[in-house]
Amino acid sequence: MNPIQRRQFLTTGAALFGAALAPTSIVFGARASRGVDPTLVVIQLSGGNDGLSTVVPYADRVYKKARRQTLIAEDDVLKIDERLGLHPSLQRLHNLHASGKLAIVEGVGYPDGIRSHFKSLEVWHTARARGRVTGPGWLGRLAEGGLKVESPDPELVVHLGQSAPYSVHSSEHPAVALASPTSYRWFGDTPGVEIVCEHQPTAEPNPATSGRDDALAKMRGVMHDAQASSLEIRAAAARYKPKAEYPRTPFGAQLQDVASLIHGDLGTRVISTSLGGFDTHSNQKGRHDNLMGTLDPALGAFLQDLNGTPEGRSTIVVVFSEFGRRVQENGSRGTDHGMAGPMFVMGHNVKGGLYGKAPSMTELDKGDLKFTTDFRSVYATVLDEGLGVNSKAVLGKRYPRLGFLA
Amino acid sequence: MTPQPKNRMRPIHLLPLFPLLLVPQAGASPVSPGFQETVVQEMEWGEREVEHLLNRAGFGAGTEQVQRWAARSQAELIDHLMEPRVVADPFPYEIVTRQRGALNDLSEDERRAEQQRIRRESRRQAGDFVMWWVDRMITDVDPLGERMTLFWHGHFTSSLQTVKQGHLMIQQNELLREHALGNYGTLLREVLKDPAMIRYLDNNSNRKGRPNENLAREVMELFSLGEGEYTEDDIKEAARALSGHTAGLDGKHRFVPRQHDFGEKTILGVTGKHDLDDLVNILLEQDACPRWIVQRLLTYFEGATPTLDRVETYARIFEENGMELRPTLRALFEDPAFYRPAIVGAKVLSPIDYLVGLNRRLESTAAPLVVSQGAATLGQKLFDPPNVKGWEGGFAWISTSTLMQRGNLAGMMLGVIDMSDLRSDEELDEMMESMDEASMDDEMQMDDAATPPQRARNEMAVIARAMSRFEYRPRLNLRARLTQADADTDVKVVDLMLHELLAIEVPAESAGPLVTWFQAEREAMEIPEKAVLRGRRRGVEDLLRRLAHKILSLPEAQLG
Repeated sequence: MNPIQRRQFLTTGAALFGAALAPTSIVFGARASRGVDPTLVVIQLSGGNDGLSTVVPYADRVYKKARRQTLIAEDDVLKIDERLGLHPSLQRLHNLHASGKLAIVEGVGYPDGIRSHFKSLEVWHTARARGRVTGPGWLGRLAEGGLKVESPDPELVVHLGQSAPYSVHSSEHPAVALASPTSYRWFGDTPGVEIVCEHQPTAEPNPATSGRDDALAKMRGVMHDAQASSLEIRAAAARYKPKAEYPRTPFGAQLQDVASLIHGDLGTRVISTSLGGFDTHSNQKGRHDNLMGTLDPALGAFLQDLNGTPEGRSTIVVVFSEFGRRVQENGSRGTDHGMAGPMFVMGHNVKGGLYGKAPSMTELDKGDLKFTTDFRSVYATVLDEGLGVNSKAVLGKRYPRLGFLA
Repeated sequence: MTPQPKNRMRPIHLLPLFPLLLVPQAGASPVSPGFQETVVQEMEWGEREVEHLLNRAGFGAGTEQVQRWAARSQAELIDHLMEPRVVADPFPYEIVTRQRGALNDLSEDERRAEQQRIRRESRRQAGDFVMWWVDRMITDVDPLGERMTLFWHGHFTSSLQTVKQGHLMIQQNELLREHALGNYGTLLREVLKDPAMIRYLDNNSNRKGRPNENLAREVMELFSLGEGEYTEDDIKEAARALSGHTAGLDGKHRFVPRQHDFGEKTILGVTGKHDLDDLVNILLEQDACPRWIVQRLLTYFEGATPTLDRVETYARIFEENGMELRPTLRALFEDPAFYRPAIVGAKVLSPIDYLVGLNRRLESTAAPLVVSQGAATLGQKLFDPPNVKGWEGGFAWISTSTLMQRGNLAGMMLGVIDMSDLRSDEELDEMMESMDEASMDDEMQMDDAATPPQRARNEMAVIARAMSRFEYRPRLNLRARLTQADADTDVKVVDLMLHELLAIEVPAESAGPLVTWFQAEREAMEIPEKAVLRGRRRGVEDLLRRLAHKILSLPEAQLG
């Protein structure tokens, strides 16, 4: 069903008063027969995570010399091998690595790296060499063509958090974005679909109101999606019984909600969420330590939770940041925008270990690590080997696969 | 760059834009000198144009105000918007900070408590100021001035979260307001010395030999030129020019010579021992600069990405007027193309536009707190833009979630949603009950599943609690409007309310389902059709508020 057909279907259904809300069978019954489709979860560490303080080259001489205030000492790191160790707070990720379910891709970036948050995020979000001009984000393209879902639900792509990133952008299949399931609804006297008319464009659109009519048509599409997804998502969160104890932090709660969507049988295949605060230009040490201390228990609980169900075990979790930070500290006990950084891929089907090639600590690009693995290779691996999607259809061309999915 | 330096500081002259406007023929480039082939076209001026201008240049207007201005000329309304205004009741803020050494005699615990007190006080002051600002938008004391102050806040961004000192953010806002309609070059120069900006973009730690490029990069990428108009080397050199420009907590800019790099720099091809002022001069000389600024202005006011031709036309107007905002905006507001069908009623209202606008149209001025907090929930927290690029705008404001929350906020302001509505979720309960036996377990689990962090994220409940603390009551008399307009049928009532409450004219078919709903509700309450207008029947005002809630939840209410 194309999106126009989907919307007309929704409207027709809603013509019977409140019909779009009522049938619980649609919510829980109809999809039960379907096999387990893998879900992709993409977590963005916003602001440019300092890769060197996350996956630490603790033995490296250049590292020890360049980093004074932000140095993580050899005695403190959680060692992976003779060369690398994880940040001391990443205890659960370290365990995950030990059990072979954490893939670390080193030196990830893209050609002619951009040190602007926005422009760099646009590159990651669109998966294009230079940022967006128009068109869908890479997860949007995945939703539109890649996944080949017949009559997709509005909840096919969900973003949990304040505002949706460009990666999920798609005018053909807009993502559902919500801050929390509890308040994801109309309160009180629900306005409801019954008061929204479907604009029937006449054979000849009215040129005198063309802009308004286009905007209205788009806005009505969002309204229908809201109507269709509100109860489903609330119910999924309310019914969800996690199989792990999440930390009582907003990020922990967010990941628990992500888990409820994975298990809610809503037809959700792609989920995006983020943790912010990584732009550590000054006094980095304490701030970054806290961020790692927020990230690890939440991710740890999430992965443990996922491990308990078939839906969870088929889930692939990808963690990225728009860039790493400069090798040399700046004058304010922090680090400036850099280039290459590590990525994490986690899940039951992941073959843990180190992937890609360590970036050189001496041959730098204006003080920054040069990338050794294009991030689109990570995307391509996830698409081809994890989701069974033709990566070329989503990314526009082929990228070497890294083999971290069994 | 052009080989000969151009003098941009020519005397200001208004472009000769007559009541009869010159519009280039289709296909002719607007930049072609002299408008050789032109059609003369008279500018339409009626309620449609007035409402559009007041939506975009201000924060919207009620029907009566629109009608009043439609009876006068376009020039009179533009003059009214352009008129310089003195802030009659400036916000009385204080410098909330600790004195040097004041904490020395305190114990560790006392010091921490004192620091917390200061931080709280500083945030409270900033929050009060934001409400003062929102109140100025709602009360329309300086519509275009406040509109442009908000524009610059999204352009020359700083955030309280990073700056931390509320008084510095207030001071920056006063700077933006002072120059909101003034000279761009002056504003750019002042912003680079603004203490909140210096702290936000880390220039306090930008020192000779230890550069911090944050401010230098954003000045070029976002504040003056746009990406792609400079090299990485230009940024490094500009950072050197900005070194030593610091700011203290007292809100004063200080130039610290020993931290400044006095050496020779080459920025955008110009070599010299550049300082901050030289950098600004170099930036203002770039052709990219007027283009970038008018591109931002056109996108903001028209709600659509401008064509290259349009950017060129306005860049030339901006440049010829010495980068003064008033004549540039005047040219835009006089331009028939600003009122073209593709633009009018097609801009997605920002959360501030939506909430301020509905308060203006409801003539309910009691809720600046709800507006500022509500807008924050919808993604536009004044003093805390999401990042240095400001707010993206357009359809980025709208998601399934924010669309629902907009309706919820309108319902809370109209007094038709209260705490009990927020606490209960009958729809969900019903559904859980209707499920089979196996679901009994699930219900037992429901309280556990909604862990405290989950509940804390019910952003609507947070606002509703604040409203009940303030004992918020909507001061509204919707029925009085019916009397004035003699709306004595269901159809007329719905049409009138759509007209009164929305920023756009809606298509005819929008009214249909509302009339059906209204009629059914009215009959269920046993109120005769005529009695809505005439009588003082119990429940009429409440019914009208519920109608208003539905209208303000519609897609139609999100456009302006």
